[in-house]
Amino acid sequence: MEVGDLENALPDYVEPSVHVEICQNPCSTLTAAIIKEHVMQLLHQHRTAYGDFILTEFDDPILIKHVKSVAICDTDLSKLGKQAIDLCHTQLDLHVFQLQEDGAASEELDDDNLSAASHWILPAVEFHGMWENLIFDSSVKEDLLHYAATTLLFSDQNVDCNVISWNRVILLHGPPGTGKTSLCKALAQKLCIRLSNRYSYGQLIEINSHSLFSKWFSESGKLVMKMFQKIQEFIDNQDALICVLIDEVESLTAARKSSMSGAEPSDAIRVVNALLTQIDQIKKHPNVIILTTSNVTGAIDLAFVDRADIKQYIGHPSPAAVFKIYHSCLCELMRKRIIQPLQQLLDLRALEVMEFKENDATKLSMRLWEIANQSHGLSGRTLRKLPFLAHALYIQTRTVSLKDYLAALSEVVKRQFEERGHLESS
Amino acid sequence: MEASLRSCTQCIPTETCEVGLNGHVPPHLQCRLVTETVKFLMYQREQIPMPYEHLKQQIALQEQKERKRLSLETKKCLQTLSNIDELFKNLERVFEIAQVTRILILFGSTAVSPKEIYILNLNRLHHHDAVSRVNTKAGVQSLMRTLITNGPLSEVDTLVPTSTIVLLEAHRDSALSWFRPKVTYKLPIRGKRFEIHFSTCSEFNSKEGGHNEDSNLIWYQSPCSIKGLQMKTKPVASTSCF
Repeated sequence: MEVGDLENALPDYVEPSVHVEICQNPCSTLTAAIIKEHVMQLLHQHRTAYGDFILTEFDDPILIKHVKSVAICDTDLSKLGKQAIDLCHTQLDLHVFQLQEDGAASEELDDDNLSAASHWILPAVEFHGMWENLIFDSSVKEDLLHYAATTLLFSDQNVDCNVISWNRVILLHGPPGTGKTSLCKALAQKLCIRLSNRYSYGQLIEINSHSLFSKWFSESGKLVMKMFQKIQEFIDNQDALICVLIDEVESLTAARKSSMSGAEPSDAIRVVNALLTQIDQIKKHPNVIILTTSNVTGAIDLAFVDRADIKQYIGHPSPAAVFKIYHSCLCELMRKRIIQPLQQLLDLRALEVMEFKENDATKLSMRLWEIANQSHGLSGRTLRKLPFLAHALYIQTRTVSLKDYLAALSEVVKRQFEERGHLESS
Repeated sequence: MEASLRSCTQCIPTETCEVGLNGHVPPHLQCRLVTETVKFLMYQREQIPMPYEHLKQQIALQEQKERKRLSLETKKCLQTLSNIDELFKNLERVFEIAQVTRILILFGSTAVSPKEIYILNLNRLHHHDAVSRVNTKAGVQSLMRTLITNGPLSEVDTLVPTSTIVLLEAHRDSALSWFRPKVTYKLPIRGKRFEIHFSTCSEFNSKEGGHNEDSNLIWYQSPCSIKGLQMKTKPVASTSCF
């Protein structure tokens, strides 16, 4: 065998590939293969990319007609992040998807009209852009994607689950407002897009935990069973990737120990038991993943915590993440012409390159960096509404300059901490 | 395990019935047959409280009575009726420009998790050697006769009001605007399945298979799902007591 042949025979996954997500127009009926071909040409014309970017305007008439956006994404999650990417020679993974506009449908358990779960067909238009706007410091997003990839690989290779066991359960916990539920939804969407050549569509089933408790004694366990039977029916379709989301999982898996001693009826114990056995039942299917979130980890039954493969703590964002969040908020306000005139706001990478030195070009960005440092300790949900509150409380005009906006933002951050102090002292 | 599952999906219990039409069925009549089936099924499966035409009349009366202050129930009815009308209008347009091979009428919350599936197979109507045309009245009559006498509805449970979703199968290049293409959609394996075959009763039919697998045939879904109506009171009677 020639040396050249040997090279070809080597697996090609040594180099991390760049993921390109192509959003096809909802009315387009073109096959994915043709679209991929045209996008490939487009990317080769572009030659190099620096980090993530999204293309929405094209010259190619086919792309104008059939494609909404081409996004190179998650470069910061792989090792490629910091350097320029050569689009002609790096391996490109193209994923074509069409957004579903159906919205959430409610699934009922047979006998009564109560909605037991919300049901989305993915990729759904509601969750578009969620993943990019979730900003975490640690490698949470990366870990979750890799987890899913490993799960798939092990299922594909038929790894004996008696030897190596994995449960397909992810538990995200942490203080309120840090984006746990959003991350679950965004992950489901992301997986469906990434695996679009494997599964023709995805489904996200968000279980309403409280609807699984019955007014009849001993019925609650059966309702859990029924719910999972329904999910089982979805799973039977091997063409679909099923993501089951159980929000605030502590309500379904309250620690059995504490409820045994207290006034809690034994029905609650049965619910936990039913859930645990059902999770063991569905873990053998390759196309399912269970996502759970919780604020009160202490209240969750240990047997459930033990079943979770990934127990990820999601905390408050660090100043760097806060800066990114504010940056995206202000950019959006500039796009929507509320902040005028347009001024350049450097991103964190540029500030790092400038070594955080203050000069005319970095003045405003440095001011934002200061505010980001001030805001440490606030949750993601609060941070996202602060630009709104800043406008409502301190600005109240149709357009405003970036400098004034930053001043208002700083004020509102102070006020937020004051309010929190009042709440805690009372 | 996979093999056994696959064989399982092929033998989904399906009830079939055949509507024989004596002659060539023009597109507008095909459309009429589909809309009549939708109307019939929506009433029979308790998605609308009375037959479509009857309901339309009643609601028109109701609207006159209530004038400006429409009750929530009437508003819901009007919404459902306008959705049905829009669907019919767009179906007509589709039949004018494209060849529709199959129609799916689904009852359930989403297109992938229906409780009941009705497949109208129009494929055989396109391959015919008939000379004479079927007239509209005769066509609709024979459809109704089949649906009522040996139709699929003799042994089914009651169905709570849910959404009605209509999909149609046509060629990829049909350029339909209102219906949304679902390139990856496949017939769901869940739910009860009923098939209604339309045929032209000629010898040509027996040679032609029921359905051809062409990768260029894709499903298109109607963008609005029709919400089933649950009426506590009969429309007219409810106002007469006030």
